[in-house]
Order: sequence, then C-alpha cells, then structure tokens
Amino acid sequence: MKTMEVLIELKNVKTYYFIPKGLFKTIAVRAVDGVSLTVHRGETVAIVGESGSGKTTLGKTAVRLLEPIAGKIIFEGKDITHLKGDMLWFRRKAQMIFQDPFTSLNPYMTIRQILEEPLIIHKIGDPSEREEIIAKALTEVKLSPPEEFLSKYPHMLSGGQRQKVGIARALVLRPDFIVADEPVSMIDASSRAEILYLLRNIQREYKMGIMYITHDIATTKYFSDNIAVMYLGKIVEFGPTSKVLKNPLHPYTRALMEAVPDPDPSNRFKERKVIPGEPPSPINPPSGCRFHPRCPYATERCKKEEPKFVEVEPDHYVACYLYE
Amino acid sequence: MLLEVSNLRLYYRTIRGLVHAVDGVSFDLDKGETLGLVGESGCGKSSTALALMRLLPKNVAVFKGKIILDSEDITSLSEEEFRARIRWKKISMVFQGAMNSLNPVLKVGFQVAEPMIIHLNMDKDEALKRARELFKMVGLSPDFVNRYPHELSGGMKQRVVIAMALALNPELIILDEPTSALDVSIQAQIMNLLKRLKKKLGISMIFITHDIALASDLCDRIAVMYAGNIVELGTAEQVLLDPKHPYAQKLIASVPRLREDRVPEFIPGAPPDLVNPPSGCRFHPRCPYATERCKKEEPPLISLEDGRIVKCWLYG
Repeated sequence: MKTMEVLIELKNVKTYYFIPKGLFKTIAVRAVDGVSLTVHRGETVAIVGESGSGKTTLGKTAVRLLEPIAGKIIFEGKDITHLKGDMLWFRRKAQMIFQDPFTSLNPYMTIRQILEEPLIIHKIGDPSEREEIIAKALTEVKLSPPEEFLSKYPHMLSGGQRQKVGIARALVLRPDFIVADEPVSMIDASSRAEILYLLRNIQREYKMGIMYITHDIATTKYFSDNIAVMYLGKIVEFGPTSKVLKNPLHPYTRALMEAVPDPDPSNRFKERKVIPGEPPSPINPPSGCRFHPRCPYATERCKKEEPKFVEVEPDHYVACYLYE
Repeated sequence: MLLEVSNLRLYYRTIRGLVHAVDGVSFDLDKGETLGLVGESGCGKSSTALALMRLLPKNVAVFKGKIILDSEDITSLSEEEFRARIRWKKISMVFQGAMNSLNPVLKVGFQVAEPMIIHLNMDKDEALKRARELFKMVGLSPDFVNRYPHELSGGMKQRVVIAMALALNPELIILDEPTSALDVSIQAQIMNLLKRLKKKLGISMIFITHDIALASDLCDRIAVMYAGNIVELGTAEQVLLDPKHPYAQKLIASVPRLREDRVPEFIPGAPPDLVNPPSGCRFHPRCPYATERCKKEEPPLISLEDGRIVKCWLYG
C-alpha cells in the first residue's frame, strides 16, 4: 500500500456554505472543516457518515464542483485548489457518479446521447469511434447487447439499469478518479451488490482511484480499502477497512456499527445500544470534540479542547482523547 | 387471532393496462405479534397495507378478498362504518415519509390530539393532556406539544407520527418504512422505541420494509413478497436462518454483513412488470432452479412440516 502512487491529496481542506441572514449578515455552514485525505491509484477510500457530516460536500470539493475556502487539493502533482476556466483536462480525469439515478439523467436524451455528450465536449473520436466507445462502456456495465439500450430513454429502464448508465457515463472518458456519492442507496437491496462489484471490477481493470461516499458502513467491508469516518465536517477515524471494522476506536464509529443490524432473528429480543440525540448543526458546531454532547465517555477536556489525530496502530488513526 | 387476510387482490387501472399490485395475498396475525412484509419496490407491500386501511387510490379496478379483524369481516362493512369503527380506531398506520406531511402551521401536540377530539369526542384540554402522555410514551418531552414541526428534528417528527398512530389505542398498527428517511443512528433509536412499545402495549404490528436485516430487529414472523405474491411466510428464525424459497434465499444473501464473513450476492435481472407478469411462477425468469413447469404453472402455497408456507414447486 505504501508504494502506491498518490492520485489525489487533500490537505486541511475547508468548504463552507454562506447563507444570508437578514440584510447584511451572512452565516457560514462549515460543511467540511479541515479534512486531509489521500486517495491512491487503484484504491477505494470509503467516506462514511450521516447526513450533515459533510461527506457529499467533501466529494464535490474533491472533483472541484465546489471550491474550498482553505486548504490545498493536489491532483497528479498539480495544484487544482482554485483552478478556474482552464479545467477541461481535470474534468476529463475526475468524474462523479450521483446518488439518484432518477434525477441525474436527462429525461429528454436517449442513452446514446447521454453517453456521447461527454465525448463530444472533450472532442474525442469521430462518430464511428464514439459509437464504439459507447458500446464498450455499456458492455462493461453489463447492459448488453448495447443496441438494445442505445435508443432507449432513462424512464424505460429500472433503477439499477439507470445507475449503470450513470456509471457508463463516468467511464467513457476513462477517468483516473471517480467520486461515487451513495451510488446504491436508492437501488433495491437485491441489486446493490451487483452495482458495487461492477464498480470494483472496472476500477481494478483501469487502476482508478475511487472515493466511495456512503452512510452504510456494512457495504464498506466489501468495497473499500480504507475508511474515513466523518462527523460534523471532520474525519474522526481513518484506517484500513479491515482494521477499522475489526477494531473501531472512535465512540462514533462504534455507534455507527452498532446501529446496523445483520439479519439475525435474535435481534428482536434485545435493544440496540444507541447514542442519544441527533447531530448538531454545522453552523455552530460544539466546542472541543464535536462529538462530545452525544459521547458516553465525554470528559471536561473533551468539551474544551479538540483532540488531535493520532496513530493508534499502524495506519489506523483516530481523533479521540481515549487514545492519548 | 387478531387478523386474517385471505386471497387479497388489488389491481390498479392505468393507461398501459391492469397493474396486478397485490395478487392473492393471505396471512394472519396474532395479538401482540409483529409481522414483517419484506420485498423490493413494487412487490405490493404498501398496497397490501392500503387495502387493510381501505385507503384506496381512485384507479382501483379490482379489490377482492377477505379481511377478518377480531372475528368480524371488515371487507363487508360500508365505507361509513369502516371510517367510524375501524380506521384509526382499530387499525392505524404510519405512512412512509409521514414525518414530512405534518401540518406546518399547527402545533404538533394539537395534531396528535385532533383525532381524539374527532373520534372520541374528547374536549380539547383532555385530548391535549392525553397527547402529553403519548409524547412521553414515544420518548419526547411532554412540553414539545407546543412546538411546530419545523422546530423538531427528523427523528422527533417520526416520534410524533408514531404518537399520532397510537392516539386511539388501536389493536393493529401498520408501519410503512418508518425509518427509511432517517440516519442509521436515529433509525436505531426508533427501532428501540418500537420494540419497547411492542412489549409495553402488547400491540400487533405489521412492519413494511425493503430491508430484511431491519425486519429482524422487530418481527416475530416474516412474509417475503415478490411481484404481488407472498412467496414465503414463516417465523423470523425460519425465514432468516433457513429460507426455502429461492427468492428469499437470494434476498438474504444480498445483505452485506458487518459481523459475519459472507460476501453479499445479487439477483441478476429486475422485478417483472406487473401489467404483464410472467406466466407460471413470477420469479422463474430470475430463478436458478426454474424448470419447464415453473414457466407454465403457478405454484400453489405449500405448507411445510415446520409450519411455514412456501410458494415454490421445489417443495410440492
């Protein structure tokens, strides 16, 4: 793992949203508040968190659909933090797969048009070459024979098939980096694994780096190499997937895992250990450790000082005073 | 026996033709028992619930079958009788996404009190007092009765909706994906609340979900639905640990597990179009064990020795 080539590196990235309050004031929503993260070529990093954790904002910042207000983003050795205008080369290399396959495909375009558009924008191939690229992408996402799908419209496909089109659209440009934002959360349970295996196989073949954003920590077990757990704009735990799931350190990570049931009939006889309350607003995050109001182990220190990110075992990091 | 549903059918009229949403569904439910209706989108689980509540959309073409509640055939009741005696009083429901349909301009306490004022002829103060008790029961501070929906978080609103469903002391409460819009940590809180209510009130529940792992958190028995049919019905132990119907087997194998080393599988293909469902067994186009017979003849409901019911030719 150590020798893998760095694809994208985020250094202390902050992305805030500013919303007007009254006539003259604005307030900042600190969606991503100082995140450092590296994705290597051929690696999948899962970003796990609940709504409001900033995981989607982080993903959009990584593909520069959003511009951070502080920090640095280095992609293949180039600083792209504040890239403006001249970013077509980056757009070609970094693609996003969206959560909702029902709203992220233009309903007035056929599958052929949806897949050809990025090729036209990036001036790739002549019409017959493009036809070939599109057919290959459809075959890769197991929508075959391609001719059967080319002239269809999105509404004629099932949710799973639509998400496959979303993946094919990201693939036609042969990107190096893909941000997959909850790619299976709106898909039937029986098809989720199929979509995730598809992504994993394509990634292995083309050595892409993937940022897999999800609220479902159970899927990370099979589809990621590293996990970053986010809470209120910060990463609270990071490490190799197997280590994090076997030995979760942060009380929040443990609570997230405890909340997910396996299909076990004895579950109904016992209550789950849950963390009380709900995540506070990122407009005015708690002092000290942001998790302290919900944490069963919180001390006075947690309320005042913010814990540093420390390496507890090789490659496994946590921001919590329990491990200092 | 609290509830007996036999051969329930519900077809919708659309421009493309008749949608066979619920096609011969039978099950029963004991007092204090929770039954899970589990299946993918479009399998007919929500339509089954709407039929029990008799809240049918205008385009219903066929509504047939027998629903017996407390030894009374409620299918033969007039609309007026059903409204006055059954709906909300005996069977209540938490709708999917209901927390987002609270009235934004009314205090949530009043919204919980309102059905008691209308159905039980309580005066307003008495109903509000009972609303405060209900709030306590669902884990909300009684003072929250004076709040408006926008002053509550998603998890709190879901608790309000559950309080509303409990207001008239129903015997059966139907929960349609009650946690699907919530974060996992809040989902676990709501599931704990439902477990406590089930134990404390001894109320019967029908829990509708696409997530069979979540069903294990609450259900005593589980009915797996596919394309308008129940394909397997048994105790939680039978269905979760040793499923018999190939679809139930596949559905359980597709769950990613956190605590076990079992790689999740998937079911190739997509659920069928219910305007024109496949002949024979509706699962045959996706079934690894399908034979010629499965394509032609619809399998009957087969009772196995252990008491469960399976709709599959492998067992008959």
